[in-house]
Amino acid sequence: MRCEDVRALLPEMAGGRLHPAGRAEAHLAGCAACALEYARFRSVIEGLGSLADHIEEPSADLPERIIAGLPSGRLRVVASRVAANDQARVALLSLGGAAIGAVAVGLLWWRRTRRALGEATASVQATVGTAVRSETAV
Amino acid sequence: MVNHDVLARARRGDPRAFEEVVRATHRHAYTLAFRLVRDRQDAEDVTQEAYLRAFRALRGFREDAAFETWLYRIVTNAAMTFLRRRGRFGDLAAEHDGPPPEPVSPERSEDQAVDRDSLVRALETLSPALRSVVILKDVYGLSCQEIGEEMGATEGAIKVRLHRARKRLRDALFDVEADGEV
Repeated sequence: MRCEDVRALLPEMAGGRLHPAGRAEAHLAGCAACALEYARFRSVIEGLGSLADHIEEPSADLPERIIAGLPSGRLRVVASRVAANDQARVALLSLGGAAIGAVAVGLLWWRRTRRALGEATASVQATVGTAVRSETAV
Repeated sequence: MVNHDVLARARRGDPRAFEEVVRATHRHAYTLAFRLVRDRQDAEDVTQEAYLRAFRALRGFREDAAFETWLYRIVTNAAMTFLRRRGRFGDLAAEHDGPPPEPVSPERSEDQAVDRDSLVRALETLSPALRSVVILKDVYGLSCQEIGEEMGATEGAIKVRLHRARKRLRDALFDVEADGEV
């Protein structure tokens, strides 16, 4: 094979296995210039292969954003953030305490109002009953 | 690598298991996305989109391929969609691949070793279509058929692109004139 024919094959040959009995391989064994070219392509491909071990670092919160973007992922992310953050936990507990307090005050107010209404109703009924009895007597 | 048990639970629809999968694999998925789109924010958007697609498709994942390879294909598909939408991908079938690359380290003609920084700079001289093919094949080990399926091209077209991309990288990394072209 001529050098130019072999060189046209080198990018593909360098990415695969050599065939010892192949004509191009036989040419490489006897042509230093083409063997150098082959070694260069191998070097490029081996260098590319080594990039697989090199990691580009994303933003630290990327996994949480990915999870938040999944169906039903948002609530879980909020919960895990709260669990991991002291300030958020204190704020959430305060909010919960305030909500419980508001409910308790509301219940007390409702019971008092209900009792006062009951007493007023009984008083009105007693007054009306007395008036009705007086009219009947007359 | 994703734990087999975690993956099995994720495939059965356990959202917490899928979150574990995300935490175990997102850096590799992001790295591939970044290599394809060349912008950090865009790569994070592509990674998010890829995991959403993976979540929806996970039940259909068959373990005849490695999970990472399956995920890389989804990241690639999401990146191609992104690049096409942005008009940055070009036409895969086009003959023109841009001007020849400038040598990034011509002094290497006597030294066969290729250092990572020079290689990354050389990759940046390639068009997105050529860069994507050579990265997916020579860095991530996808087959030309798999790359073609994700990029919307025939296996033959991918092989042609791969040949050109390797040639251009060789020209960028080694002094073309030093030994003379035959």
